[in-house]
Formats: sequence, C-alpha cells, structure tokens
Amino acid sequence: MSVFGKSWGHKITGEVHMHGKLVDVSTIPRAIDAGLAYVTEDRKQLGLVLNNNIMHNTTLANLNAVASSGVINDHMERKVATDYRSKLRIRSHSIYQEAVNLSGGNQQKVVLSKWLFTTPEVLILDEPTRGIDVGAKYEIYTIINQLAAEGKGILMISSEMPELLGTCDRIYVMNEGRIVAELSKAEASQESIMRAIMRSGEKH
Amino acid sequence: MVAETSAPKTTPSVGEYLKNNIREYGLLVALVVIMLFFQYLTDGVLFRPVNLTNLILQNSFIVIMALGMLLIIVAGHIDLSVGSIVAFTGGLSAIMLVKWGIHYSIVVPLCLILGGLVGAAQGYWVAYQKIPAFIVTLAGMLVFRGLTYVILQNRPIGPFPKDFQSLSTGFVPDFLYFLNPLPGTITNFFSLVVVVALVALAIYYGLRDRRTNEKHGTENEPFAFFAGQMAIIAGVAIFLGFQLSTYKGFPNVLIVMALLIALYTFVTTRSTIGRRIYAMGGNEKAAKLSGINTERLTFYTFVNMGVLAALAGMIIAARLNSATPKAGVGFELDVIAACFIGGASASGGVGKITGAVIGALIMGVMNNGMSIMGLGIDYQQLVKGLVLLAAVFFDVYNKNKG
Repeated sequence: MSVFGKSWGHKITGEVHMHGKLVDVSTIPRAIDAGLAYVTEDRKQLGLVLNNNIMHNTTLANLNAVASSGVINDHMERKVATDYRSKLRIRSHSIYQEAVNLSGGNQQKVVLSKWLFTTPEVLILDEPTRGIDVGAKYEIYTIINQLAAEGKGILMISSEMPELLGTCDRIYVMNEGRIVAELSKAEASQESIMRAIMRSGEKH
Repeated sequence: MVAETSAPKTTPSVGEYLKNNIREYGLLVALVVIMLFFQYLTDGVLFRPVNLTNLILQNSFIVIMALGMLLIIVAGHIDLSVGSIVAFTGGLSAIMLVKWGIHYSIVVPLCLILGGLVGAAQGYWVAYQKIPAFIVTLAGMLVFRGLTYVILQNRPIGPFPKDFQSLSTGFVPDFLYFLNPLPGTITNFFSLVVVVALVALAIYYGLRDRRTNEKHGTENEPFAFFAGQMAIIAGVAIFLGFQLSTYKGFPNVLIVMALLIALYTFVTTRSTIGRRIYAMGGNEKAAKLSGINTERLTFYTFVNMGVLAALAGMIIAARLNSATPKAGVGFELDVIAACFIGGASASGGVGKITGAVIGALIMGVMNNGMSIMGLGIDYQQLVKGLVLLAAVFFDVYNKNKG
C-alpha cells in the first residue's frame, strides 16, 4: 500500500519509477496525478463508501473532472457513472443504488470504475477477485485483459496461483518481503513458482 | 442476476415513493403536526404574528449553528464547545463595541474571524493530532467558558449601540409600502411580495428540474406527489409570510438565516467539498485513499463551525442587549439534538441540511409552545429528551426494517 502515498507503513524505503523517471508518491493525490491507481484488497474497508451510491463512488477519486470551480455538474457525473456501469456491466437497479446493497463482484467493479475514471497509466490490483463468485471473476479477468490491450500497465497482486498464471505476462515471486524470482509467461507454472519459493526458504 | 441489468426504469408509484422517502417527508409532516398540536393547545397563540416573529428570533441562532454542526456530524465528529464559543465571541464583541467603542462594521467581521480561529484551534487537535472530537471540544467547552468569565470579569456588559442591536432585533423595512392594497391589515407589504415571489420561483425551478430530468432519462418523483408537496409548501409559506406581514415583516435574522440555509444546502448537495465531507464521514479510509485530504477537510469543518458559532454569539448578545458569561449554556445540546432529530447519523456520512433545519424548528416550536402553555423548564427538557430518543429510534427502526 505504501507505493501509494505514505499513509500506510511508517518506514519508507525504495522508489517508484515510471518511464525511467522518479515518480512523486509522497501523498495520495500526487500518486493519483502521476497516473497510479491502487485497487485495494479490502473493498469494504478501503475501497468503497458503502452508504454512498454507485455514482458517488465512481467519481470520488476524480471529482474535479466532473466539476467546474468546485461545483459538480450533475449531468456530466450521471453520464460518467452510467457509462462505467454499462461498460463494466455493473448489475444494479440504477446508478443510485447504494454500494452496500451490491454483490461482491459488482462492488469490485464499482471500485474498478472509480480508479479507471482517474485515467491511470498503471493500475495496481490487490487481490481483485477475492470473495467474488465465478461469473464475476471471469468478467473481471476480461476487464483486466481489455485494459492491458488498451496499453495500461497492470500490476496484479494475488495469492491465487491459477489466476496469476492465467492473466500475467510476467510474474515476480515474493517471499518474506523480497523478490525471489522473475518468471516470464512461458517459464511460469505452479511448479516453477513453488520451486522458487522453496529455494529461497532454504537459504535462510 | 442478468435480468436486473435489463430491468426498465420505471417511475415508482406514489405509495412506493412515499415508503422510500419516508424519512424526509416524515420529518416535515412531524413539524406540521407538532405546530398544529401546539396551535390547538395554546388556543391559537402559536401562529399569531407576534409569536411567529418571536419564534424566528428565538431560534435563528440554533438553526445557524445546526448548519455547521451538521457538517461536523456528517464528517463523523461532534462539537460540544459551541455554547461556550457563543458566550466567548458575544463577550468579545461587547468589549470591542461597548468598552472600546469600535464601530460594528469592524467588530462583526473581526468576531467572525476570531470564531474561525477558535474553531481552528480545536480543529487542529481533531484533524492533525487525531484526538477524538468529543474530548477536544469538551476541553474547548470548558476553556472558552472560563475565558469568557475572565474577559468579562464575571459581569455582564451592555447595552449595545442601536445599530448593532438591529442585527438581531431589527426588521426589513417595507420598501413597497406605497403598493400596499390593505394598509389596515398588512403592515409590511414587501415581505408578502417576497414570499409570493419565492414560492413562484420554487415552483418554476421545480418544474424545470423535472423537465431536464426527463430529458436526461432520470427518475422523477411522481407528479401527483410533486404537485401535492409544492401545494403544501406554497400554502404554508404564504400563510406564514402573510402572518409576518401583518406584524413587522421579516426580521433581519430571518434573511441571514435563509441565505445561510441556501448556501449550505448548495454546498452539501452540489459542491465537491460537500461530496467529500459525506464520503469522509461514510468511510474515512476509503476517502483518504481516493486522494481526499481528510485532515484538511476536518480542520475546515471546525473552522466553519467556529465562524457560525461566532455569528450566533453576536446575534444572541444583540438580542439580549448584553453579553453575559452565562450566554449559550446548553446550546450545544439543542444544536446537536436538532441535527439528530433531522436524521443525521452519529456514525457519520448521513444527514441533510434541510433535516437539521427542520429538526431545529421542531425543537424551537416545542420550546415555544410549551413555554406559552406555562410548562416548566423541567417538563420541557423531559419532553425534548423523549422526542430526540423517539426520532432516532424511528431512524434505527426504519434502517433495520428496510
């Protein structure tokens, strides 16, 4: 989480580079401006304002884009929310449905909408399919593939190996806070990943 | 699951609509019922022009403070210090006006700024040091009450210059007296004209909103409902306006209050700041991770509260024509109660300006009605306490059921 503003974690080590340039991620608004978006693992605690509706959640991270000098343009906001609702196929009565009444998969899509509306270059997805039914999982993978095809960088964090093997072009294996292996899509398999983890364990 | 997406947008029937919005209209209905109830119990005294005017003068400052308090409660905090800030700024204004003889055009803005500083001093601890607002403002309540005794040296100061008093006891003059068709009954024709004009504007904008909504394919409330609601509001507004116009017209504070209500309604419903405050109150962590500077926002809600409390403090001082160290004792409770009766949630993120205003009016009408009936302060508190509990219970019950 500390890639994205330093509000989480106290000791900050390391830097974020994009296109070979150092990116200022000292605060969350700066990280967003730099084109980073972080879809958090815990969507209920960290992703959504549950008692707000889909529309309000969708535009929250980029409110200024639907407002001029601090005044929200209702029609523009409605249009943005309606667009994302149909694009990501969020199942709801309307964009005015409260996020709390949505299923896990649809909640996740609302969080995705929110971050897509910030037009990020790099999208960090932290366990994007946790607690979601199979159908919605498939839809989320489709969305991820679409985004990648559109040229967005996607960094996916997951503890579900089949998911990683199915979606990623490159996999970094981490163990106890360190990167222990880098595998290309061709090299990556359940065995090779497990082997990398075991090997790193032996060294200690 | 799939069927839901393709479900057509249907306009809800009147009954359904009522059920979904029972909280908002329920509150308005409750206010009207309480008014009629006391109108009956007081043998018609409540709606007399003089009493209506009094009602406004007695409650304007509660309404004004409820606007700021609502933002604080929506943000997920509380402010117990407003009663003390009222006394403190009232005292400061008295010293400057009466003892130092400074003109009110300097004193009023200066006191508003000082109120803002008091709010900032408290907001700093809440926002940046993460001390619960309950504790910070409890401390503030004691500190500023104490400071008020210090600066006033435990004595009331007064009387104020006439022009300052008119802030709170003055009336808007009758600019249109020469057009008055009924000089015998109507003593301030201007106020009646303003009320009718406002009602006409409200209907015009209501209809226009409906038309744009239709154009953009958004749901409207059922027309019967819209019409009924408009008719009731228009009827009540014109009746009250007429009553006021047969006495002295609009009190100055009514204008101040109305402008502030309009401003804060706009801020909470249409501005990005308002939206961010609601998001922060609903889920602070998510709001923060969405790039909202929650610390600064919290800080400003307290500054804002301080400014409004300072305004209320001056209105009260001007009304009593003296600044006393005991001014505003217990006001924080009335203001907070108004917000909760108005449907604000103690856990933050929920609440409306209109709700807080109606909540404050309900409290005010009950105070006024019970005073006219000659009920003692003891029973008044008992009744107000029970009404608060009932209103919040109604909320909780509705939420669990829905």
